[in-house]
Amino acid sequence: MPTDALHIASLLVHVQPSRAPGLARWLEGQPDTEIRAEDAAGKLVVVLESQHERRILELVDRLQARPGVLGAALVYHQVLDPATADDAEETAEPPQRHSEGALS
Amino acid sequence: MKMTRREFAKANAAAVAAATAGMAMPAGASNLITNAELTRLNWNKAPCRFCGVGCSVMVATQNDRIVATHGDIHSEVNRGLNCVKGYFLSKILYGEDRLRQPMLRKRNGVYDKHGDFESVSWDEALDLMAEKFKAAIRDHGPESVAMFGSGQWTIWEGYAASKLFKAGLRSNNIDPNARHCMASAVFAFMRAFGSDEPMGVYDDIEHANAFVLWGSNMAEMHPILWTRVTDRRLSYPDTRVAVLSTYEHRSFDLADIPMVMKPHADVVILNYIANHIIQTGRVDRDFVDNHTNFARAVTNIGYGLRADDPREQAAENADDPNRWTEMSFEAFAEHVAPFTLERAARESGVSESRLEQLAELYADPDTKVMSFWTMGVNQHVRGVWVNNLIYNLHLLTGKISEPGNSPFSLTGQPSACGTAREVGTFSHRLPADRVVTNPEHRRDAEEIWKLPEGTIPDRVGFHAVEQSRRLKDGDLKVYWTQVSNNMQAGPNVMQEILPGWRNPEAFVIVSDIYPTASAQAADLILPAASWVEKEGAFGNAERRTQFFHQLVTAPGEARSDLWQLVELSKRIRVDAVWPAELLDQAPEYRDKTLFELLYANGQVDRYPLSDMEEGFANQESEALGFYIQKGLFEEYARFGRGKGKDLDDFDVYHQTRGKRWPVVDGEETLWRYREGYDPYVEAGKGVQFYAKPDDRALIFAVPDEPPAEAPDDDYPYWLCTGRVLEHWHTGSMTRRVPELHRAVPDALLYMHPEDARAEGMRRGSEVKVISRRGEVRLRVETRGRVSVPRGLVYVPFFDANRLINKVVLDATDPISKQTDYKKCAVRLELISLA
Repeated sequence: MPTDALHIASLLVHVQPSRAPGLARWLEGQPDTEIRAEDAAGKLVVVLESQHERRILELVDRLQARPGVLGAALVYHQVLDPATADDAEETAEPPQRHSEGALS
Repeated sequence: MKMTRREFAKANAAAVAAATAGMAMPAGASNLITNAELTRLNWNKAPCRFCGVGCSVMVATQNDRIVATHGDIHSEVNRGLNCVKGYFLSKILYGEDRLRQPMLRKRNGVYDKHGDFESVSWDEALDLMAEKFKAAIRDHGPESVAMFGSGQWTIWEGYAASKLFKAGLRSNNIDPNARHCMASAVFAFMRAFGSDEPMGVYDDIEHANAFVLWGSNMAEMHPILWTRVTDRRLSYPDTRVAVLSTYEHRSFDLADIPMVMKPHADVVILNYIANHIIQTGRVDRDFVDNHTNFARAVTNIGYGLRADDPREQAAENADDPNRWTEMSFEAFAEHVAPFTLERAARESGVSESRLEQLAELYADPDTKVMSFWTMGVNQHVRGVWVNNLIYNLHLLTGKISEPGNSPFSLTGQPSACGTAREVGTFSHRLPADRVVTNPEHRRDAEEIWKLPEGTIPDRVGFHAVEQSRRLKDGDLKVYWTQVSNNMQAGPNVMQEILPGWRNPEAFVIVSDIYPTASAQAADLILPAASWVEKEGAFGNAERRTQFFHQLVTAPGEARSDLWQLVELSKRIRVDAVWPAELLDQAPEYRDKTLFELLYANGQVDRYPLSDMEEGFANQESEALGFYIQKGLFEEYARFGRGKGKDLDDFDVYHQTRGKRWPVVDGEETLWRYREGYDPYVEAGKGVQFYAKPDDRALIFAVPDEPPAEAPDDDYPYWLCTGRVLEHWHTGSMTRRVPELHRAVPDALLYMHPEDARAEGMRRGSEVKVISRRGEVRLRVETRGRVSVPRGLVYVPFFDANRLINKVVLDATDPISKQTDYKKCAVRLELISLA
């Protein structure tokens, strides 16, 4: 596993609504982890930064073990070069075909 | 707008995840698109390589290597989501021990069964195979050769293999490992509806008010569909989820009605629910009177064991178990009347109140109910019966073939439906639900294949478990397996399978991508190409046919299974394997090879290379000079058109995220047998089970009969086997992904803490699990993801170093010949306490 990479991943987490606030508090305490969206039905979008892919799996495992969690599905994964991760870049509209996978 | 790459990637990650769940994102965040790194990658779609759900994934390649994958947001199946196995798909092809060239057991430079593996050329390997096949057929007849494949074959690979065996070599001894997985489902579909595969689709999930899991751990085995069920349950709080199993698993987390039953009690529970529906007056009489018939199945049908087993000798209908007689509704009501709530509760160990809540999900006319099941039902000595008992509930209440009311049989392999079932790679089947025992069906196939009458043998070939026994008995002389690992996945390994493979009489060939337990037990190993190393097609559990292009080159000399089949066919002449009588009927074939007979037959070879989509390699077609995948598919599609199994034109599938058959005039079909959805239903009929001669589905009366083996004083525990989320089947791919291997490295013995205490064991103890057939060493786990009741232990089968199938009994459902991996008796012995 290369250690000179920066992994960005997102997860969709389903949780019993009554347990959602507790889970959100727990997630906020995790390093390099952010809640980017949530709704009242018990869905959370979690974005994770890490040096190792293993950390992504570990978060999934630990999430599965939290009270009320019904599922944690991986959605997006991108590997960045840490040396250029903080360079500013212009965002753009997608070309039609080959970029389709990355974005949709 | 300018932002850092890091921030950009995170915004993208969040936007895609939110979109998959239909969640709103802050304005501005959802339109961010791309960056320079991503556009340098070449992205294409492919269905996932693992389970039968059929998620579409986007695959990124760079320099002829897969570098990334993610869920395909354009897929109606997974809508951008990925499970943990799918997430690491990009790594399954790149294990360090990937097979790169053929290897043959040799001593002193020649093949020797007791020799060591040496690298050989493809020519040497294929020439020897051809010689072995020809000699076996010449000396012992076509029944002395056999093949074992799987629901991981692409559609055209399974079709090419089936044609090579049934038409070329004239042996029906070809079977897929779907026999271990789906055979009970197939037989029950054919009995009840006359046509294989579900009437409904995954869209039912978003229409149902209730979900019932009959022996399925969807949360771990079909996680993406489970996410859809979870989403439905959370978004509509009145939705009810019932989960029934012999132990507690992850799916219980969502259960409103959790039920742990005693093994084998499902027959009693299902008959009780039918009785409850009748007793409470909730039968849909209009539906039942117009669209169903009742049937009494023959009983005392045995356990598919060897004929000299006393349990078989005591079974009067063991030889012909798939029969029934007509009966009336009143007689059916009388048959289920003894299956009372009290009895069901007593025999299953589930409380009366929960059983009644479960029964009401089916009985209440206002509840739309979706039933799911997999191996708990299919891997069952009465698996066909249990499948039929589930259909009974949906048919009695008319809750079928409409949005949300859906009995849904799930599958475990990416093309269990598309290849094993639809192509008909079972030892009794031909394409599109035809069978080898029906003279008209054989004639159809012979006509499409341009073969003389009598080419296809009329006897059912050897099924999976029978193949192992025939190898051991010395009846099978040549045995070829592709995309399967039966030395690990098959039952009773030490008594039946290994002795058969190492029988000096047999020459065993294994095509695979890694040195599996099977490869190591073979005589010749052929390195295979996998997944997007070739052009392929899979069919998922909701009748969706999906294609993928070759995106990378296979390593070393690895070649696709299709290439291997075709190259062997070039080395065998028709007159070396056909009898004189048949050659006299078709003298023009005498001097031809099987390649010319089967593949260069004016049909399969009719599409030029210019038909291939630009920008994609195609190793087999480029070598052959014609577009073989298209030729095989279009010839195969002729079997189903006009028969309710219509497929679209080949080229369409490369441009779509798949289509669900029957595809008529370019339109897919969501709900079969229902007017307005299914073009085969005649106007004014409403519902029509048109694959049955009288348009009526069958409701079956079956009793409860005991399992083949149950715990006793000597072997006091039930053993149940199965899978875990991180590993797929025998782990030959997933154990080579470091992240997955590290997450769940070894198979454990899950047992109840009180049982452990009573045995003087504890968590971490090393113990022997012993049955009448063999033993295996495992460590005890008393916590974690699986929680078993007292008296039952659970062991997953992914671990090649701890082969639980040494212990499992090779008893099958006598109708489907599918092994019961969920019930046998074992005892435990402590090795070290830890």
